[in-house]
Amino acid sequence: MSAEVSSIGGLPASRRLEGIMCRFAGGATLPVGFILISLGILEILARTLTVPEVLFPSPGRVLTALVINAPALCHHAALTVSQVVVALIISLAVGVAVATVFTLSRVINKMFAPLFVVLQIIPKIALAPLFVVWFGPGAMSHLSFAVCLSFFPILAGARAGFEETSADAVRLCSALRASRWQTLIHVKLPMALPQLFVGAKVSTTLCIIGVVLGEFVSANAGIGWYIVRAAALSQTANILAALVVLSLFGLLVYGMVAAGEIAVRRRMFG
Amino acid sequence: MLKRSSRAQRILLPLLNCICIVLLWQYAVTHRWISPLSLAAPFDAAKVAASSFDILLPHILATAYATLLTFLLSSVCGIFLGALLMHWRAFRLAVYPSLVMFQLLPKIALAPLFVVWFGVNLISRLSFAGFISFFPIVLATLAGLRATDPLVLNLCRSMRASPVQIFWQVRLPYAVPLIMSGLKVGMTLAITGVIVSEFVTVQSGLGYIIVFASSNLQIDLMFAALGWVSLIGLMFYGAVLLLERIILMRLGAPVTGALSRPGEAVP
Repeated sequence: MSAEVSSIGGLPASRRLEGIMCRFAGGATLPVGFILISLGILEILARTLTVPEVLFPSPGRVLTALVINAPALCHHAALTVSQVVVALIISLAVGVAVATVFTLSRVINKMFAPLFVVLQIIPKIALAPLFVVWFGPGAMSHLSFAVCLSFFPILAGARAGFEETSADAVRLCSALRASRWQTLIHVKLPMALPQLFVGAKVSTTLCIIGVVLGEFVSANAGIGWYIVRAAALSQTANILAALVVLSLFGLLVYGMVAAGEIAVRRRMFG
Repeated sequence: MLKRSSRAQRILLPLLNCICIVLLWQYAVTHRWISPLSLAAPFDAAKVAASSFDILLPHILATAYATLLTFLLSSVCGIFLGALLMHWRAFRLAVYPSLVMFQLLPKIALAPLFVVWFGVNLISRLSFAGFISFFPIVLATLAGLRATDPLVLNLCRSMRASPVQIFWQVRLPYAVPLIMSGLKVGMTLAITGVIVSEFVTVQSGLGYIIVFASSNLQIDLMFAALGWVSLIGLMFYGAVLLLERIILMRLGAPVTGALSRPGEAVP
């Protein structure tokens, strides 16, 4: 494997790695510099203007809050993120299952597909308090609310994927007397994977939004609860620190989905 | 004949299905299969929506007004910034990764912070919703403006078209489909942002009514408000869709089918 890699382009692996690092560093200087300079300007502004810390904590204060509260933040973030992951898995399963039913039965497709399109466009975020009424203030209501938000992009992605399967491949399957089910498993599902991942990436962010908003509305733990409590106590630095932790965890989950997509692409298209 | 029957099917089947679901729902609630404390019967909710319309109306208008203002604000800023990013390479290289990262962050979590910054008022709702709906529009505009066919650009340059002419007559028309899909996402996020900030500010708007009704366990009022939220969302989304159709038709571009895309799902 390594010999294969090093032989590409006739360069030894170490030189190639160096080249990649150089290019990466060249590409990263501007963005990283921009972020650092913006943070520096914010820090200087916060110190010279003497804005009350409730309104505008300097980046340094946020960092201090982050370090001091790290154990508590990690505890709450882990709780939130585990719910996000479970919600994502549930909505993947349900979304693909519903899309499968839609492709297998034309009548059900005609009956329910327009309904789902309308449901997709309705702002479901307004339902958050209703889930508390239904499931009580706990993990169950956050999970189900997150699934309710994140299920639709996966359904849309899977349906688009199924519908974009090349007609030739489907015709070949029927010529070879493959059953509908076999066609689905062996042809349509693999071909739908790229679109499915587009949906899964959208739904990852929606899952995070769903769980955090559920925690806003009612919870006694989790990062959303932490943020609301910090806001009630006017600890702005703590809000921002919680947001940094949440963003890091969120990017981690998103990165995992994106890595899955790349792995699947590699296996399917070489 | 066959075609006509299939078209009738396409409209009648979902409609019939909807009516069945609503009737079943009504029946289930009135016969106490489901507690009316967890689901309001649809006709009761409609009755409440009609009887308390004069109370709801200012809140409906407040939500619709805030959503529309947010959408206009973030689409103007977003398209402008997208164009700026396309023309200014160094700025683009510096800012683009941050923009993509911000697009992915769960920005909803910042809602309480906007209240701390701007107070309990329309400004805080507008700025929060604008902050949420702005990023997809910038990124879609940038992607659209950069997707122009290079052959066409070369042709224009060889005919000595000025950069301004190229922008208005070539790049912008080419970018319309992507910009419009960004605007659709932006519109959905605008109404989401407005409702979340109404949850948090609890001052006016349908989000406020929903929180208020749920804490009083007035489930029928809550469903009436939910119905209005859905109606506003559908209307605004339809308006953007119509705008897209009109612009594409005037440009003479093919109008694609209405198969919904994952990115356009409204949270």
